Amino acid sequence: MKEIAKEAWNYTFSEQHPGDYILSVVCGGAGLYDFVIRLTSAQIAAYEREGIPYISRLAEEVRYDQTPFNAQKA
Amino acid sequence: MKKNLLHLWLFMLMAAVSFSCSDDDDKAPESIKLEDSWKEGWSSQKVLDIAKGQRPAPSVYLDQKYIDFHLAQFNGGATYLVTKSSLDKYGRDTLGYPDNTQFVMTKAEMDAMLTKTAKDISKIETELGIPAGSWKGQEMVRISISDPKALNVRVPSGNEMGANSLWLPGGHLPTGYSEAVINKIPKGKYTETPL
Repeated sequence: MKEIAKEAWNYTFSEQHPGDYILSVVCGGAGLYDFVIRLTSAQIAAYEREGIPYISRLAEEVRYDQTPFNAQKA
Repeated sequence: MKKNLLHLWLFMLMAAVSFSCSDDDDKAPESIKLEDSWKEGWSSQKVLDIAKGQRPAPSVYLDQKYIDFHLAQFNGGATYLVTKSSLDKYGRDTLGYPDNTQFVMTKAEMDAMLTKTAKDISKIETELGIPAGSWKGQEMVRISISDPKALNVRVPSGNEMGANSLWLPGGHLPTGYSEAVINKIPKGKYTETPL
């Protein structure tokens, strides 16, 4: 697994295999947990277009509400 | 007759003195309820209707008495739970979200909750509103901050990085536990103990 970007107590973005991207997001308040998703092809395309700022935004979305990302749970 | 009147007068005087010396008014209330503490024109829903990032400071919509009462509960210490793997991954030099916030519970409520759940991880997840299974099989760590005042303990505004779609104004989790926010926690300002 190749780590691409990490911000302490925010997220870790990695490439597990070529083209297989994993985003681990720090979530929660008085109890912190990691929510880990595998990027969809649309998300990968957005990452390739916009780079790390997109991943940072995606991490915020995941942290705010994990429900839309449940199907992507890795 | 005069003697009786004098007795009556003395009795009334003593009753009046006793009443005026009563310290009931000076006693701090045992609890100040959130529902009684909204400033005029504000409600929980009104705050929630404002987008995250734009929400006002709690002092805009909550009485200062409530804020002071709420934060006083953290005088005995603040605490939160995290996985050991996260600590190993992100380091122990500075804890807390990059926006200089970290949600905490009171030490007293955490102690009571851990006793109630007998430290059963799945029960703790339920108590704290953590998605079921998030901590399954993980080594858990309790972070304790003895002096949260030194880290600017405050009532959450809902703009914090850790505030999610379930956040409620007023400093309580949806499950009822008291919460507050402190600044990032440097090494030396916290202790780490295995759960």
